[in-house]
Amino acid sequence: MLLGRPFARSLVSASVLAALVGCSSPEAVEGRVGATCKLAFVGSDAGSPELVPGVAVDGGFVELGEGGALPLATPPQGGHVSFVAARATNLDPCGVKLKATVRSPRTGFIAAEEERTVTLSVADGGWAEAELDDISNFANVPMCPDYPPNETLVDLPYDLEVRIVDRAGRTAHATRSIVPRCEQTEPYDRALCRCECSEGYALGRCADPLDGGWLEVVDGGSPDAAAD
Amino acid sequence: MSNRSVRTVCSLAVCFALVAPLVASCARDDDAPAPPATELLAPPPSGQGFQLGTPTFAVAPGSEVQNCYFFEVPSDGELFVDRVTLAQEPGSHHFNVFRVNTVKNLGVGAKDGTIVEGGECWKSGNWSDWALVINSQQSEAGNNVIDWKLPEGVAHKFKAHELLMLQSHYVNATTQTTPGAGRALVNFWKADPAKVTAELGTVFTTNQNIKICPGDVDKTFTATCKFARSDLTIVGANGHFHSRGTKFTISTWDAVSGAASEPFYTSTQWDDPPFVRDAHIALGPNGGVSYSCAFTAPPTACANPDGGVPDGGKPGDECCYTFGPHVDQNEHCNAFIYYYPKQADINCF
Repeated sequence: MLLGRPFARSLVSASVLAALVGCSSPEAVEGRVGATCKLAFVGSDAGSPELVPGVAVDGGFVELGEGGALPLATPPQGGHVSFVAARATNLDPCGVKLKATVRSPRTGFIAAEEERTVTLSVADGGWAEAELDDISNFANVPMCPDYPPNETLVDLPYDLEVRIVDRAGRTAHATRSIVPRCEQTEPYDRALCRCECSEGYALGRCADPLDGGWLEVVDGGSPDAAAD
Repeated sequence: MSNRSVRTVCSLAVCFALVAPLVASCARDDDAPAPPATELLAPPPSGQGFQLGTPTFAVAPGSEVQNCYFFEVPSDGELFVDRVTLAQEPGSHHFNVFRVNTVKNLGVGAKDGTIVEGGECWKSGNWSDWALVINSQQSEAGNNVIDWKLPEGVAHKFKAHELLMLQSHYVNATTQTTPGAGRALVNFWKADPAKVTAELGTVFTTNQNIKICPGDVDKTFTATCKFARSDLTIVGANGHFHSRGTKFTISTWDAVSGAASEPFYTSTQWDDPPFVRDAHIALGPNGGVSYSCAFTAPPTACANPDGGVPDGGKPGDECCYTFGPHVDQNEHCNAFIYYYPKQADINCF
């Protein structure tokens, strides 16, 4: 099971988090964007910045490999997003710009893109990475719904381009072929994901995704395609 | 106010402008504060359109009031609207009009003439596939009316008896105040169908996973929404965030290069954002918009001084501002786009 809100809350004990991020004395908080971030440079200032894109799995950072699954998750107001994390070195981890772009290798069109300011936490070996218990530190790529003439987003390969820029302009980027997946355990949630992320979406199409046959769809098709 | 209640406001017949003299009183509660002495917005003359609106309601000090009002479009046939006028008593945070689509937990109120007070009306997932008609955040005293005549030949198209939801959010708290009572009205002005050459389309897009903590400076979130199937023209836009928001921009965006234009919309006033209504911005096939929200929170700021962990947050985030509707505790990054010809009903998340 990949990153979800219940999981996110369970990753690190409350006491450790309270020690790391305390509201009572915000001026002492480390890892914040802007003037209050006091994290040290990671890696070597003389080295080229490096970036590894990843996702959170069971509380740990897992690199997105070629052909790896990129989960589609449900945020509060609707739709489905993918959370893309970054591990980086040879840069300033405070207030970096993290950008993730999902592009179709078939059409060349960008399906979805998001950029946000995040602060990385110092990790082992001279690297820094997103705080894995906080999805606001991931790029939240707004994947679905996408609108015609779009392609199906789920179960088809896409190119994921990730770029990170620190406050001094040091830049690193990486590209992976990934496959967006609906990995929800509840049938309704998985059917809703498949419905919203399949081609030809229109508002209202997914009012009852289980009755719409979306759960049975495989390989990025529509219920009609499955019937064919 | 009950956490959740549903009431009947008035019947469609008495809300329709054909009986305009009754409109001012039809939606009032017996226990509501007296309406303001001045007429907030006169309805269209008979035969020229119709008015929908909320009753007058109290907004107690320290409170926020968000209600959802349901109305049918009072027409037995397809109806075109080429001018929309919105008016709100001072203190409004927003006034949205949506077309009702999939009914979730607002179901009990989703019929003509009912209200859902608070409760499920706060939960944005309930209208995730409802298409935007219009949004207004303008309620400053003396400047609380928006009158938008759409470009020549462009009009909203409504189906016969199409169900609409009017959502009004008033705040009388720390970052916004309501000096009197709350009330929101909207006039829809009928267009001559023979003169309509293009249907207006709308886009609602929101960045849902944002967090701003004390000490953050210019923390920025940028997302895209691709909606152009063919050549189209953007005619209007407005943005919405709360008091930590320092700069909201909207640019056109190319889905091949990923390049964004110089912003055609910029807001630096969270509580009185501009509503661009005279744009003429061309967008080609597979184009869309890129929208960006920058936030700053002083080191001494705290979203939940009583110690509650915000939705989507974790222990230690008590003072952080996360996605949500409450003005003092949450933040938003929402964009509203208006264009023609309509491609589809578009919401991006």
